Amino acid sequence: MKTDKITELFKQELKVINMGLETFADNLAELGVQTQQVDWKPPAGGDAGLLELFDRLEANTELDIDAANAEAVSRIMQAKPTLVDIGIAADVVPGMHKKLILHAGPPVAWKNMAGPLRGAVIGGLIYEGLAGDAGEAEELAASGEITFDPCHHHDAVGPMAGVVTASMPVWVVENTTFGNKAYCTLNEGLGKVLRYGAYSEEVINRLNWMAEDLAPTLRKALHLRGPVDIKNIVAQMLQMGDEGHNRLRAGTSLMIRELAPYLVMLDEPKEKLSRILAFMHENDHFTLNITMPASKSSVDPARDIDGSSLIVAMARNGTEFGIRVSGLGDRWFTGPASVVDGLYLPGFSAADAARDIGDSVITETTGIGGFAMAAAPAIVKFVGGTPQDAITFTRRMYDITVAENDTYQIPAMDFRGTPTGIDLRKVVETGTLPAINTGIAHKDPGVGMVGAGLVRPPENCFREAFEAFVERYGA
Amino acid sequence: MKRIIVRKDSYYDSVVLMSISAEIKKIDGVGEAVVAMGTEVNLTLIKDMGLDSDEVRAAGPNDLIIALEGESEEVVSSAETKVNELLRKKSSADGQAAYRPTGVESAVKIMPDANLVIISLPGQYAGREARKALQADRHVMLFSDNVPIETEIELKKLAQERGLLMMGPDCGTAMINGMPICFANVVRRGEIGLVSAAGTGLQEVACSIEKAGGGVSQGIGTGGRDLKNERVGGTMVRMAVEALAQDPETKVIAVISKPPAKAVIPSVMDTLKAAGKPCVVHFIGAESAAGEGNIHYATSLEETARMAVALSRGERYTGQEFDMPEEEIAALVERETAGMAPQQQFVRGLFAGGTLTDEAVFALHEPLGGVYSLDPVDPAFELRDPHRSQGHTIVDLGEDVFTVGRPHPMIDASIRTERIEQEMEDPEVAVLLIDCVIGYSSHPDPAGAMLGVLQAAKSRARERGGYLAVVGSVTGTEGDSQNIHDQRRKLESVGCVVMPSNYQAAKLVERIMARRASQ
Amino acid sequence: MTDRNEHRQQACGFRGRGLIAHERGAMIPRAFSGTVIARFEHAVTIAVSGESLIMALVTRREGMSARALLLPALPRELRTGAAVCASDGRARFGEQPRGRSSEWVARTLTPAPAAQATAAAGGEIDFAGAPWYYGHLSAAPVTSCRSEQMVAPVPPPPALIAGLLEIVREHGRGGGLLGLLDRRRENVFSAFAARLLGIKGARRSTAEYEKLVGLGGGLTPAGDDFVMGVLAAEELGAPTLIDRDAVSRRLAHAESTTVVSATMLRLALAGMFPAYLTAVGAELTAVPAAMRDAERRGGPARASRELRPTVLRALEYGHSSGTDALVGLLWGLTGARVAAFGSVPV
Repeated sequence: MKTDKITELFKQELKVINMGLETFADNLAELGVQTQQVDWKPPAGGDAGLLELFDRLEANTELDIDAANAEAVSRIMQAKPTLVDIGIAADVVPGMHKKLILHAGPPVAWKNMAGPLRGAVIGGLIYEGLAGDAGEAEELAASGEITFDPCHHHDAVGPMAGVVTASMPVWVVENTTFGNKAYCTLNEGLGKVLRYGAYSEEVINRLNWMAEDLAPTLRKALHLRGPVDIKNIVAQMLQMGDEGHNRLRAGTSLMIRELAPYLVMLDEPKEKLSRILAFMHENDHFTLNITMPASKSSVDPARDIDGSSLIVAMARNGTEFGIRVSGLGDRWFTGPASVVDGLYLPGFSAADAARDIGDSVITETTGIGGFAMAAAPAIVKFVGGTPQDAITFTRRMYDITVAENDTYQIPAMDFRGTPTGIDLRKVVETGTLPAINTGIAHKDPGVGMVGAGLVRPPENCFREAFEAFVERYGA
Repeated sequence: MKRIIVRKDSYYDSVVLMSISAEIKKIDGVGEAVVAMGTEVNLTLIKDMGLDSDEVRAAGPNDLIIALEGESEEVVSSAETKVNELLRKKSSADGQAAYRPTGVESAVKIMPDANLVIISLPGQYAGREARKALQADRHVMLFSDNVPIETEIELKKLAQERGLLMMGPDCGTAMINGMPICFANVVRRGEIGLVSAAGTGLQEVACSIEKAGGGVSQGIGTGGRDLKNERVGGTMVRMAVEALAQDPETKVIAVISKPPAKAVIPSVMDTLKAAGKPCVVHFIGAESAAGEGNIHYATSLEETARMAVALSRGERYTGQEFDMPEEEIAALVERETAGMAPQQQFVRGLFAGGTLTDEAVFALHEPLGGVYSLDPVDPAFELRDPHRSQGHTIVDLGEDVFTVGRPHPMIDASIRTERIEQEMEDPEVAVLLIDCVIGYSSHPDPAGAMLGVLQAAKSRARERGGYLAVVGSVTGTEGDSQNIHDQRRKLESVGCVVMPSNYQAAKLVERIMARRASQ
Repeated sequence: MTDRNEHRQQACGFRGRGLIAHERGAMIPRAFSGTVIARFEHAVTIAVSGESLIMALVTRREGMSARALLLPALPRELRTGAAVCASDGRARFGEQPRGRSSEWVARTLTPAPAAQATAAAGGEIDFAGAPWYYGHLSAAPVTSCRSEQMVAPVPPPPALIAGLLEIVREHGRGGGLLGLLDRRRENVFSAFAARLLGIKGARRSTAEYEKLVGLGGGLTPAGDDFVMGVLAAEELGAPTLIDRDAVSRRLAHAESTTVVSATMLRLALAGMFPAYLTAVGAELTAVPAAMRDAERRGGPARASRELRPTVLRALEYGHSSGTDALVGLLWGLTGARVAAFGSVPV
């Protein structure tokens, strides 16, 4: 029999991990032995049914989930998201057409759509000239003439309502390692905006300006400059107090630095350029619509890996929260979208809040956003926390992820890599849910943003996904 | 009752201090409670409350003072415990305490060179965690019981493939690299390697080795089913023996277990023979056999220890029943039996240690013509009701039937003291046989906790015109915080006969009962 | 940088990992050396070699003072016993050799010579460029004005004081001296304070406020928070109640109160207050004209609405520290008639 590890132990200094009665560790610590106490909780909340599922999964000895996950996460880390172009959705987004409206989250029918999404659809139809006013738009949406589909089904992502229509300009981000692309509209700023379900004249006018002035000018500047390495930008952002989802002040400044020299070289009136620069400057979230497709393009190559339990998409449509798992194909697992725990803008309260919405959790899926909260202590103000809380949030995420990012690092944690690659098994086993930062939309269409905070995803979608995973891969 | 607690140079923020004061006031029976820094004014006011002490007079403004007033000693003590708990909890918030790993995987990230994982979780979860620890290439000590046999087989198979120690399940004691793991004693390091499928057996042997002047290189627990169950097949005993055979620090190997399953014996014997070092084997309750080659059989836990010490010194072991001269034993027996009333005819053994129970049952079953117990030698002597003794009875009070919802008697004396209270009302009891296991994780003063009830039992017998003999032994060493000599003195102070070992205690009971029979 | 400092820092063996301070207290010297004496959730206190005032590193704005640095985070190396030394507006910290540090701290509170620190881990705080924090209650601090015979500040209007009283009564935290507002005696400490201050609704100009120093629970005893509040009221133009020299003499006496609290009071005597209190001060003095208007339109009810968010934040400071300081502030602003004040028509 093999005993070399035992004889080796006899020669080593004893170092102990203790799970359970703390006195055992205390006794040893008293004698100078290094110990580490584990804060153990019953796996899967002590649910016997789930434990049985784990046993079934582990009984399949031919399956190497860890290896599959390692492959998946290595693809995420190898990704090189690069901002290459701005195009019109109908021209570049796969499958896009005039009567198709893309939205955030898992699929949802018009009749089940939440207020903000309804508002954004109304605005989208008006913007496309398919409806004259809200009434006409609602009629058209209900008529069945319009097709609704998740952004995720078209290599795209959208913040909040995430509505994309045919003639909207979109950022084009290419993952140059794998050659796949991802798309996202340009960010409209805060307040009354389409993505929060507002569709007033002011909103439509801004969208028109963005399509006519902003996007073409930025496109020219981008072409003049050449592709921008977004991975590098995100890495820098994290060192500058951003987490890439809800705090993008540094990232937006960096993008302005990247583009400004080329913008001023364009043969455009000064007023126009100034307005564009001011627009970017006034909107900290400008870069969110770049980090999102960057995340999407990074995680897509990790999809469809046989046996991998890595979560490759999380998204909400305001009605449901949904996830997709690498080894389970295109299937969505959903649960009811939660109410966000956060701070409200003056004059609003939790009673005004819509349920959780948006594709922006794609950032958490790739190890930034809420997972990198420790890099952005300013963010914890949303939930009334402290910088220490931010670090604790991030630390917890290491418990449910398979790797530490080799590029994205957190200064406050001694430049430790961000927790990357959410393992469905670990979420279910530890009961630790992904930490997600998000904005809060008003529950009624047309009002806009009312606050920001931290959201708790519904537990059951992880559980159901796990059951399906065991069904597929268990012994 | 008033009490003052002074913490020197203690800085806690006001929120903590106030929450402490609020928490203590919630305790029933606490009257006034003041939690404040020892500033001049505060000290004056505390003194005015009648809470003066030398400590208060010596306190300064940077010392934390907690002054308590409660209706009884217990109330004040429980309040003090609460205070200490709260202060400890809050001060651990220093630094990065907000985060603790939640599983083996995250713990090894923090402590990458951890080599042993101790698991004492509820049985239904313990197996999974043990498997993860083994998969992460760490040795495991699985303290938990109620782990299914299938899980044990699977875990030990995995450990065997990976060449790791899988101590347990239901392994209460180990000594690795001189460090006591879970329930263990402070024993000098030396040349004897122990492999034990019996928890208190390992403690008794290790302590006897220390008493005989020897020392222990490693003490490896395997869990009680390792040899007893043929499907487990002695995997861990064999691995441990092979590892000790390789270990240059180990000169003699001793193996302690209940009798193995028949199918397991040949492979274990082969392993022992192949070890090439002198081996002492003690199968508790098995027929003693003649040694062959490097294998020597011992008849008791104590003899296992003494034989191993002799072998490690290259000496011949010559056994004797008692350490004391025969005349002394005879005098002792005479003294203990002289005052007994005619109806006193039974032995009651009340044990905290499982292996010690077994040893006593096996030693006394035949001489006494049958001993009732929960794990009897002869199935006819199965105790009908675990909570009521009949005839000669010896019980392990650490059995599940007694410990459901209560701490093990090695930690909390009350299970045994309650049972003694019950036994002392039985006029037919002649001898009370007890053990007293000390060391790490055990009760801080097990002898002290029994004194009251032992005294009461003795005087109860006297009131009935009889005499109750109490015989016992202490499993422990001088190095243990409870100290074997202190424990022994305490027991002797109430007229308990304390023998050098559990085996000798049982043997003395045999003599006492023989003398009773002849009276 | 002097040679000595350079030598010290080399001896400390710090690794370069910097934090940048958000704010720098005006009483923080550019160079110092000291030892961490305590660590709390949101603050670290440091005993400074050769000075009787302690220093603090805080992560919450409310706790900012003239002897504190406001930091984005508290690195874990800043644990009790760690050495901190600074020069040129950069502080470095690291661990003391094990075993000895606790002895120093426990016995004498004397910081260890920084040169002895052989740090296993440490870091750096850059506070040279941080904006200064003075802790003055209003734009024109009384303490400096008085000596120059400048215009005395106008105390806040009664409607505001009544509004403040309403909020403190409703939301103040017990355990300290909140009972003084309603002549309630919560515990031995508030009973003592009530006796000392002679609560009868009437002002007692002869009260010996210095005897409140060190009274009551908390790391800054409740009496100290209260006295600071009264001092703050005086800064805002309320009539003088406190014999400042007597308080000063009492603080010179080391047994009188904790080092943390003594620092707080010394700063208050010099006209510098913690941020949770200056925020309230700013509200009380900010727009007197608007408030006069408010008085006419809505009286105390409106005033209390305007003040509410700031006061609630202050009341949450510490456990009862914020409350006790505001009770002191009210005490001072009403000329010790606070208990009777609620019924005074305004």
